[in-house]
Amino acid sequence: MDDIPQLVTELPADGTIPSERSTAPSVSSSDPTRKIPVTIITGYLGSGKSTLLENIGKTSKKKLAIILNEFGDSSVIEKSVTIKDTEKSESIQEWLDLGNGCLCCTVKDNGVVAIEQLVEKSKDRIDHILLETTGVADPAPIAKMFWLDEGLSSNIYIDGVVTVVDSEHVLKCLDDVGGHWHRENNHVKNAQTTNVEDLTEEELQQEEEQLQEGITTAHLQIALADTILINKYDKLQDKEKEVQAITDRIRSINGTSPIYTTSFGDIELDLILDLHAYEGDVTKVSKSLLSNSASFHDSRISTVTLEFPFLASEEQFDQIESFLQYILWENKINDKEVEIHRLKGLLVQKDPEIVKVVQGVRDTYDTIEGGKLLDGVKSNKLVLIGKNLNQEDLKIELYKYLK
Amino acid sequence: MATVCASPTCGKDTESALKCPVCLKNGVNSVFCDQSCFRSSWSVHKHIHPSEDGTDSYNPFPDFSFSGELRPAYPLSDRRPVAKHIKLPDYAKNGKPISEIKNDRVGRITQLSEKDIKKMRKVSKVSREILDVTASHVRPGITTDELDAILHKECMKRNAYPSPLNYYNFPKSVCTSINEVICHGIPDKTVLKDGDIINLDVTIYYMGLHSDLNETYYVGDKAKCDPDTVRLVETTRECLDLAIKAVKPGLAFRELGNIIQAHATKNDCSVVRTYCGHGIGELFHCQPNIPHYAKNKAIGIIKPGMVFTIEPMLCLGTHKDMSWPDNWTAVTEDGKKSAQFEHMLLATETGVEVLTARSETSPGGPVARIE
Repeated sequence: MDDIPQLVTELPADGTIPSERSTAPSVSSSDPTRKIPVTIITGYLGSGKSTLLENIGKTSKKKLAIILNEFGDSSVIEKSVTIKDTEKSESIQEWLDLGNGCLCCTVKDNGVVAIEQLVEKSKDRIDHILLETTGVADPAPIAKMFWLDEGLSSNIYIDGVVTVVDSEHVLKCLDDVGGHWHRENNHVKNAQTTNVEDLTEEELQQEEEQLQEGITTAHLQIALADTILINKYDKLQDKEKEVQAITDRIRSINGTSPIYTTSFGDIELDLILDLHAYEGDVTKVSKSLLSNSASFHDSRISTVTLEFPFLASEEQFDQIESFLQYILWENKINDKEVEIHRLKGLLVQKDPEIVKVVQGVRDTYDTIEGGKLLDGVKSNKLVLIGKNLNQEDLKIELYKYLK
Repeated sequence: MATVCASPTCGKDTESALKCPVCLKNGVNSVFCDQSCFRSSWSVHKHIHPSEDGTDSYNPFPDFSFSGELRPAYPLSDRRPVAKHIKLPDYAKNGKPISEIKNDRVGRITQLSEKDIKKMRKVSKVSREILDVTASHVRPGITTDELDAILHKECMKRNAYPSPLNYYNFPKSVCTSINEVICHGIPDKTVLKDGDIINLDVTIYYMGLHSDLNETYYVGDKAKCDPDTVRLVETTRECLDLAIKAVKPGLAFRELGNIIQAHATKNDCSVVRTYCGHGIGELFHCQPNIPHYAKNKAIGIIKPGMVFTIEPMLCLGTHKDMSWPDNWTAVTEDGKKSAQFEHMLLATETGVEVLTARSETSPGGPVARIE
């Protein structure tokens, strides 16, 4: 509506035309404190992601928005969302409205803005968002996208990454050096992307290099996972032995995240939702840091724990930050090329007590202050999942900064 | 004495003394029975008003709930032609900056070679000249479209392409952001008034490189006499200066937001979150991303040879922004004023070089706060 003036008997002395509308339009009135969690569900085509989602939709009491596929494929213009209202057992299809790009750099990805708008529009109809990636998707860029700065006061936050692996094929897949198995089974970008023209040379080249090295998308999906589901348990012959072999193999890559076996995605929802995996909860992080139980290390991507004494001064927090910035942004540790996919940690100064949680995915990291130290924690701890990592090099690099 | 209600759908005799203020202003008496009679006939009645300032402009989004007083004034002028010999960026033809989109997926921060740095200095100087010439025409009574025409002509004179033109289909050659407009205002038939502030955001593409800078200007003397407006504009200017002072090799980009927000808060201004500073060079926008708010997770350390912008946007009220239906114009949600300043910077071995620095004769510049 354009402004309708207020009728007058004579014009005010200053000549201004009074407006009928006395106040500015009210700014959106939704509860600004409620944030909706986003869980990223990743896994190869055929691993059972969709069955898992279906199962969650059936059993959850939460009102879920399920965003299917194609996420991370930033060129796709429209994306559909299914909002399941389990109480009324209704499904509503919505379209995400992805605007065009922007003249200046914007902080948020278009997809994130579209989901924020969806939440805004349907505030009480959504309790949790599940985002299913394509089979070939590296989940890190998507996790980064949804790990929004506090200052952006978004109405959504990243809850965690759940990775589904196909128990029948995962070992073959992780052993594939050179990409033969991946190409044969169409687990490559060329075979799964709707707009093949959108793939850049660099992307394809990077995929090829990783396949040659034996670093598959499955490695990345497991490295980034905050919870791992070994699915299709029912298909295994010698169940106990095979599950052990798969678990050992996954542990060698990701030594900290919980692993569960499932058939047809039957899993208690508490185990995969509300993980708060990117937050500064000291209790949760302490727990996950304790459990690095890898018995041997995958030579390609592995989990390494670095322990060192509590910090003595606040300057040492800054020194650790410089160390983290170096290893995450220069991709080097003790002059060796490395790649860090996930980082978690706990940094403590005893007197006065300062406890900081460290969270990181690829080159994005944060240190979050707050919380109380748990009994039994005797040292600082950093857990890194990535390529070419080992404890000695990390120690050497750390003490270049820590003085 | 009874008159006939001026509403074309009423036509009753009335004793009312209520008149349409717009008509009154134009020396016409249009009497209506009451406000509701007036309201129901408004959409028809308003057409008898002469258009403001004698131009035939209209608001293309009459149903949109604008947050402040500013309205778009369409039609936009025709797309300005670019001389054939001028080197075009890749998006000039179809609006899609393909090289940027590709680069975003790689996302490394480049350090310029000595040769490119020399070129960059030249391009920066040209962009400063173009901004200064355009800004010297800022005065009450000029339209933003006229400013766009001036800028475009100055670009053509210097063989430079105006980078905003057709970038993601942006229709004009410069961004003109008045009062509550945070950024990306589209030049149109809007007439600048005494008391307005306007930001001119200029980017040019010349010798294969982009150069980006912007400044906010007071329109007329009234703006300079309003304490809040001056506090906003000068605080924003100071925020940029303070951030630039901190730039040196070894500093993490994420620190700049802490500096800017601290100074803004001290002066009771808010910092816009949605838009950030950026790397620039062969591409209009690239890594790094430089948010202007505190506690951000921006990636990267400043190193010699990096070229990037810092361009804080501050507001008198809320930092929250919304878009007009043109999908470009970003305005404050509460309609209060917003200001912005931008420089393009080169990190050197020892500190920083302000590539787009003002000259002795640059229009605008700081004014004293009014206590």
